[in-house]
Formats: sequence, structure tokens, C-alpha cells
Amino acid sequence: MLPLVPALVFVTVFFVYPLLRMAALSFGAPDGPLGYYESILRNPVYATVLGLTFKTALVVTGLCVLLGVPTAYLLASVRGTTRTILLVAVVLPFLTSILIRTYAWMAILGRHGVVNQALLTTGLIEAPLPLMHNAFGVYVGMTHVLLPFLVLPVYSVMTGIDGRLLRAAASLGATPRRVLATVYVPLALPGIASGALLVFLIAIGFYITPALLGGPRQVMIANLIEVQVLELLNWGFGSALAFLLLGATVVVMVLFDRVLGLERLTV
Amino acid sequence: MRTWQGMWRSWLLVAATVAAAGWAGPGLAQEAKVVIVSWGGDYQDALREAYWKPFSKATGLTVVEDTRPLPPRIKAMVETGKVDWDVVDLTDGQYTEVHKLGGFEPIDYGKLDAESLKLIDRRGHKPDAVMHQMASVGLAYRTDVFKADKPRSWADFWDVKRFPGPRALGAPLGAGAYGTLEAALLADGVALDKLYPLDVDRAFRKLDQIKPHIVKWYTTAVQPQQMLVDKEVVMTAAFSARTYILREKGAPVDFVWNQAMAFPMYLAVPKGARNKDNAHKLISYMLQAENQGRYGNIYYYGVANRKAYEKIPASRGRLLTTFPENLPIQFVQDADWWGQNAAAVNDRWNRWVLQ
Repeated sequence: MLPLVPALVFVTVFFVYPLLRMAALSFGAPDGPLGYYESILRNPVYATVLGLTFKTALVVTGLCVLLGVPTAYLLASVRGTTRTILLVAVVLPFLTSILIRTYAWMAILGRHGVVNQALLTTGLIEAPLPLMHNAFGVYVGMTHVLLPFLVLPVYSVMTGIDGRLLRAAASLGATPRRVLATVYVPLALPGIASGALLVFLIAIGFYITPALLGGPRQVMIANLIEVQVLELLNWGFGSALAFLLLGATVVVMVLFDRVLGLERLTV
Repeated sequence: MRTWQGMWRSWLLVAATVAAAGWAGPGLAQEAKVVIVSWGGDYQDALREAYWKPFSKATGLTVVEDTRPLPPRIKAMVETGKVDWDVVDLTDGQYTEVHKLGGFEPIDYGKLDAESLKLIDRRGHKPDAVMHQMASVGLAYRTDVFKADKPRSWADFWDVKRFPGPRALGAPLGAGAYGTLEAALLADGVALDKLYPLDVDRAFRKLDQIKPHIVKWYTTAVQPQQMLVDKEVVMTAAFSARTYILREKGAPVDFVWNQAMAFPMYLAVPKGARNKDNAHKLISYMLQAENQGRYGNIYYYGVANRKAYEKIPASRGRLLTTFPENLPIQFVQDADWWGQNAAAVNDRWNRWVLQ
């Protein structure tokens, strides 16, 4: 137990204590302890934005799974230098700030950006496509930022899958598709689930990418919290909103646990 | 076991260092320095060249710089009693937010240069802050799109038939820094001097008309200039100084002074600042005509000291907020109105933008 103590102290000082302070702030409304929470419930905007936030996070998680699982499979099935090069390619974007990556997408997706210029010059379209300042732009930008969070856990689980099990299935007469569906995917599922959960949890707290690549309707709950904290200096209301987000997240975690079982998630 | 003990020792060391730093901080006596905080980028470069370097040379005091004096950061410093900053550079709206919380030291006007104070508008002499410049937000447009018939007012911004093309405006969040509701009311025919108190209902009705043509309700001050340069929009509300910097770099853009929103920017001393005397010396230096003249020749904000225009050629003076011909055709943002109504407007805005 002794080696655990520093970690526990760290978490208590830098996470639990600030969280308790925030809780105290959120119950400190001038019109009674539940004042901030009541005004959140009274105003339908917050429920709408929370819904939009979860929808965006779900879509981005889905896109990450669709793109990330085949990528991880490729990574796990190559060897040597090829694997190193591909791994570096997956990890490299981590070294660039989110802001810079988002601005790069603005240069690519803009009305006069690379994609639209190319399509216009080749005569495939006559007017620029709206690729940014809408949901599409947000999905692209967020998926790009979050993809490594899915690829890495899935890759690590896939490299641990015993190749003999696959050969055994094949030797018993299973077609390659059957091997994939009944042996490989179930074995890789814990990695996919933990990667997807990680992406989802990070996605619901996003605000820079949606603020820059989104349009009027791409409002995330974090944007509203930011305005309360930075612009209106209403830290109590901001804290109450943050706890609403935390509560909603916990609900998702519990549901996830019921369906898939968190303890099964080994990375 | 040995490694555990080693680990414990490192943790104790970290804890001791953190504790020591916490106790040592506030105890330090006034040093030969002053810590000033502004907004970074080429703006802070200009302040350094025009004011801080020559101030340092003249007084022997070291000027230490920091960036982004956001109201919540000032609030956090004042509340925890660990104030690292001596002078902060704030917009009217930001100043008002911190002022309401009592977060500033009083300004000792006896310590500031009396001659300079006479040349600065009395309304800029607050008990706990002094105006050092004025900035503007107004209509900025691409001159390669509108060559002969140019937009000249907010009514023109709303006229999508005569001036077609995508547009941007600021989201009026917080202290309404981007003047969006004001622009809507001016477009609807409200007179410059009859804007406040804002008719919020009327402003939102007018915004309904322009909503389909706005590709982006931006939330940071760098977005409008970026969108203008990238041709994402043909016109937008933007800061005058940033628009002229783009033009200086060769971008085909121009700024409309008519119906622009001017707002003062203040120098203030956070409550509990460690170098109050030096802070007053630096503020006094930054208000003097000669130094403000030097600043006006480097950057594009409107100098507060009237006499500074004697040092600035008229061709350049014309591009500044406080130039005598520019002031009467602008309105000054009412930070007090925004201070009282920002939260309500924010609520309404969130509902409206999602509709």
C-alpha cells in the first residue's frame, strides 16, 4: 500500500480538493444553495447544449472507431521499420498544439482553402462547398485530434492477441471472415471499448476546435462554461454547469459499465 | 525498500519547495522593478518599444512583462493574496468587471504627471484607473470586392443585395466587446447618441434579418481579421488597429470610422500589488505626450494625450480612434450598461443563436 500514498496525496491535493472547492462555489448562489442549479433547469438552453455536446461527442467517437480500428489493425499486422514509421505517424500530431492543428484545418477546409480551390480549378464544383463553420468542420477537426487516443489502446490490445488462436480457428475450418468476427474482434473489443470511452470523455469537454471550426449551432457545454468563468466572472454558475457535465458523464460511465463492464477494460 | 525511501524523500522535497515558495512570495520588499501585463503579439511589441525600453533607460527600473491580464486571473490573484502584477492594461469592459469586485488599488493622482493629466479627457480619470488609449471596433471590408460602391455604415452591412457576400460579427458574450447589438440598432436607424440603454428586443429583431448571412459569430478578437484575409467573409466587425496592420502588410482591406464603437483602455494597479510606487512611475511615463507620440507612430490605437498628435503626421493620425475628425462619428461603449446587463444578454444570445 505504501507506494500508493504519493499518488493518493497528489490526487487529493490537485483533484479532490479543487473539486470540493468548485462544489462549494456551485452551491453558493445568492438566492439559496440550489439557486444556480435551479436557473440551469429553468433555462432550456443548457439541456439543448448538453444534448448537442453529447451528440457531437458520439459522432466523433463513431468516426474515430471507424477510422481507428483498421489503422490499429494495420499497425499490429506489420513488423519492423514499417511499424515504427506508422507509429510515429500516429503519434506525431500529438507534438503539435491543438490550436495549430485547428488553424491548419481552417486553411484546408475554408471557402478558399486547399480542398475548395482544387475542386474549383478542376471544374468539379462551381461554388465553394461549405466545409467549415458547420458540424462537418467540427467532426473533421475533432476526429483528427482524438484519433490517436483510439488507435493506441486498440493497437496495444491487438498486438497482445495470440496468433495461434486465429490459426486454430482457421484449422478448424473457419473462413477468414469468420475468424475475424468470432475470434479476433471479440478479443480486440476491450481495447476498442476503452479507446472509444477515452475519446468520448475527452470529446465532451472540447471547446477550442468547435469554437473555431463550428458554426452558430455548434455550441458545446464547455463554451458556455468558459463564458461564465472568463467573461462574466460568475464562477458559481460556471461550477454548477461543470458539475452538470460531470454528472452527465458519470451517468454515461455507469451505463457503459452496465453494458460492457469497466473492469474488463485492459489496455 | 531503498527505492521507496528514495521516492519518499523526493516527495518531501517537492512538498517543502512548494511550501517555501508559498511563504517566501508575499514577504519580499519592493524591488527595483515593475511588472506590467498586456496582450502580447505586435501590440505588446509596440508598447515595449514606445514606453518600456525608454522608461527602463531613464529610471533604471527593470520592466518585467507578462501577458493576458484576464479579469478572472486578476480576481484569483487578489482573492488569494498572491499578486504578481503591478500594472494591468484593460479594456473598459474588463476594467469594469474587476472594479465591481474592488480589485484595484486607488490611483494616487498626486504621483502622476500633472501636465499630461490635463491633456487627457476627464472621463478617463477613474479613482482606480487611468485611460491611456482608446480602441475601436467597426465595419471592416475587402477593398477588392467592393471597389466603386463601398460600405459606409451598419445599414450597408445589413444591405445584402447591394453588398452581397458572407459576413461575420462577434458573439456579444461577456462585456459585449464586439458591439454587435449596437451595430444592429444603428443599422435599424437609432441615432449615435440615443443607443444606451440598449433596446435589446429591437436589436435581436434586427439581428434576425442578418442571421442567414453570418457565417461565423466569432468569439476571439483574432478571428475577424483571419476570416477577412482568408476571404471567408467580405465584411465583418473588426478592430481598427488590427485592420490597419493587415493593410500595412498589403491585404486589400479598409476600416469604416462612421458608427464605429470606441472604448477606452485603462492602466490599473491590482489590489495588493508589490511595487505600487514603481507602478505609478510607469503609468505616469506612459501618459506623457512625447512618449504617447512615439507610440502613435508605431501602433494604431488612439493615444489619450491630445498633445501627442503634434508628434504624429496627420496622414497617420487619421487612422487612430482619438483623431479629432474620427471621434464625433463614433460612439463610446457604455461599459456600465454592459456590466449590469451582460449576463441577461448572454442568456438571451444563447437561446437566439440555437434557434
